[in-house]
Amino acid sequence: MSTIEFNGVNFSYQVGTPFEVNALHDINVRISDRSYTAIVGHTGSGKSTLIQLLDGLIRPTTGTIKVGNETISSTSSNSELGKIRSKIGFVFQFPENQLFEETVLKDISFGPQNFGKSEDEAIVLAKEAMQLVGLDDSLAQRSPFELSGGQMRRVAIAGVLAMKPEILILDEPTAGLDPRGQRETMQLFSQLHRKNNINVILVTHQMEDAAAFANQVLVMNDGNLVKAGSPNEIFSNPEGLIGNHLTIPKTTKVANELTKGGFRFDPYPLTLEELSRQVAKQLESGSN
Amino acid sequence: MFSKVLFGRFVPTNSVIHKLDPRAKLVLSMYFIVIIFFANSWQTYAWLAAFTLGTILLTKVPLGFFWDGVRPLIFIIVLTVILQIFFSSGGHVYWQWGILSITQFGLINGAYIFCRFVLIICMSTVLTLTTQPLMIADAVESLLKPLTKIKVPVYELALMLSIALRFVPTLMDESQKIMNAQRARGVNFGTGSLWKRVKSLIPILIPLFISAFNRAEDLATAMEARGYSGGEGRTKYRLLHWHTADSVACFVMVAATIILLTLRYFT
Repeated sequence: MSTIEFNGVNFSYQVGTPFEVNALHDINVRISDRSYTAIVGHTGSGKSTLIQLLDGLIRPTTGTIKVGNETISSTSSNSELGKIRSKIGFVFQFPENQLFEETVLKDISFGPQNFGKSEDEAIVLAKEAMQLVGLDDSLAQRSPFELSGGQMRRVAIAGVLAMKPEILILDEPTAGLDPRGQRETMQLFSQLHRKNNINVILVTHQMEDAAAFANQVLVMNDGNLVKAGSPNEIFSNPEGLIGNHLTIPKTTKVANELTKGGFRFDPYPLTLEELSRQVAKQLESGSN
Repeated sequence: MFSKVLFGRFVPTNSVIHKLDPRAKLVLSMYFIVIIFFANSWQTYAWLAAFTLGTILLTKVPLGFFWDGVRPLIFIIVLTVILQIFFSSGGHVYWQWGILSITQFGLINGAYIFCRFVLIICMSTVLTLTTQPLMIADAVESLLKPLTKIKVPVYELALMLSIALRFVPTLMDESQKIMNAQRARGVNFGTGSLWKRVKSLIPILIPLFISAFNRAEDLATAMEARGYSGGEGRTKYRLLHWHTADSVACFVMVAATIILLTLRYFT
């Protein structure tokens, strides 16, 4: 229903000025419905530009992006782009900076109201979203600016989830959170993906997250999409990552060292659990 | 939308003009704006235009940047010129309708005003394109120094100016980010009635103010932690040096003024 297709997409900033910068070159990729896609790449590789194009916040210089039945091209009108945005939830980096309303509840129901829900409907959606992100009901009437950093982040994420998006774009959602907050947030998104069939697109620098949660990984470098494949394909080839200025997940590092020592892994372990399970099995069978 | 703003954009080309002392550049460009008003004939405007063009070429900055400086103001320029043309009287009358008329003097005045605008914008663009904002702040501080005698807090003003300049691009980035975040939540900027448009600014302005407050608090803490305790007894890292080239630049400007005044009064 909401398959995403990039067809020959190019994007340049400040076209026609001396400052023109070509940020994306000929992107062709298909992101299937209900998938969990991780976009990785070092700083300035074009990840953020790519997801802004997808949400219709900027228009491609050439090429088209198909989101479900809608198409984004260089000539798309604002109302067409608005229609696409209503299907997509976008959690920006440090989303707590977007809060502005007097109360938490009002801020969360702001998105749904903008997309045509009545106030009562929006409040019902907002309450659902608060429960989803684990915010206590007692916070509903508080000012968002009285909350802690972690709670503000939850309010901001709830504000996006309340719009019931079919596609959820996450731009480094765990940046600046403590380890527990990071784990809980990532688990929340993974749960949404599995239970509510939401198509998740995650931009991240944490290779561990990409390996553990995604079922498709896109590797960006210098405005090019250099690789697309399953986490297995991407992470079992560490040279391909290092060549694109990326690190490899710790699990992969350990697995590679063990392979040199005679261990054989199949399937390739992407999580710590999977790695330890396979190591334990091989040790038990005493194949070494 | 903010990427078009030329303010505070510095283009390093390492030209003669770039190496001038910022105090010299600041004073000379202000001085030039004043002497533009002495021009009153074709010869004088032609001389000033040649002088400005010479300065622009010396900066080695591509001419496109200067066009970028003029472009946002073109509406104001054209409006002023049109008003001047239609409402000035004197000389030969070419066309008249009620109080509107096109006269010889009107046309000439319109052309003069056009030249004046373009020259002022070009010269001030020379200043901003060749001088880093922080250097301008240093120059302002140094030029205002004498005012400390009459209890003007020059040091504090200079500090505020350099912090403000430093945060212009940061706040622009920030507002762009907040704007995108609110657009993703369904806010439509620049559509609907005036009231709706004004209301759609609230979701940008409030977060922007709040982040500015937070930023100010963090910055103040960081400054105190690094031992800042006011302007008394501080030394300077960036020192301004007056070179021969700066004196030459002042001399060139004086010569240009003499030529201008000669053209004005003796031809």
